Amino acid sequence: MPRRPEIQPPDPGLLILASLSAGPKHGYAITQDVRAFAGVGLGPGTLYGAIARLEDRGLIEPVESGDRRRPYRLTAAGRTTLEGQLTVLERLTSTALGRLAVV
Amino acid sequence: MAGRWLLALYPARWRARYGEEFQALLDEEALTPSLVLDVIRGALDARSVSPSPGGLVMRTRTSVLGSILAVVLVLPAVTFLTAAMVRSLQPTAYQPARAAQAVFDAFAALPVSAVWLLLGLAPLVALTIAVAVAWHRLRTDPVAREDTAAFIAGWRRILRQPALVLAALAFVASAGVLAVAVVHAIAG
Repeated sequence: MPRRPEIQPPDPGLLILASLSAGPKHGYAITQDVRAFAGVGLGPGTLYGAIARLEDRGLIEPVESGDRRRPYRLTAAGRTTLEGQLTVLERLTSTALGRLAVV
Repeated sequence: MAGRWLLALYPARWRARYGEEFQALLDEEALTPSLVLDVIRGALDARSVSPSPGGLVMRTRTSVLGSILAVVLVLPAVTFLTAAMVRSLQPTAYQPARAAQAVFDAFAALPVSAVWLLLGLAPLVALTIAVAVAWHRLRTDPVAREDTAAFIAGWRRILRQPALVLAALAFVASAGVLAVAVVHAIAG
């Protein structure tokens, strides 16, 4: 049985925030978008666990829709959180790539 | 609908909020072993999360305090108007008209500004708070929203059954008449 990689893919919450930064999307559209830009497949359980947590923390909110597939959008707090997380990741990425280049 | 049984693994409160859209997503996906495992893990996660996280508790507490304040504000006016109605139902020599007259007299002894405060301003503030609390709850609590919609839909269905409505009216009216008759019989 293959061992799970010790470094996990990005947090589902961060992936969802990144996906919604392009505009409101429903669950299925989020999974398709995340698969396209990050190569990560979010299962329904993982996706909705993260959506529930993000909504509870006020980072995303549902958009009124007559469809069964309810879209979500970023709140102002969600946008700020995403920007903060991406800044940290950008610093981490540039630092690590710079050090790799030196080595 | 594929995977309906998977949705049943989640707690009722979670299903009430996310059930329909979650089912819509399951309908789009092929039921593979990894998907089933993912949903089971998600259901266990949802069951381990407190149904009343901190933010929700805080919002609920604010709503409850607001509702209590609204009731307290409107209570004196309701007491006054009830006393005014009850004292005119029978001679004030008998109860409960005598007690109602005493309550009415106590209010009548207040300065006019206090009466305006109790009968005008306080109910207006109570009404504003009640509307704000109800609006806030319906906007932020999807379960409350769905319960309210179900309540309204239930009443609509009942009102479409004239036999049931008339029977209920007859029941309430006859029970009321009998209650008044019993009270008068006891009071002599």
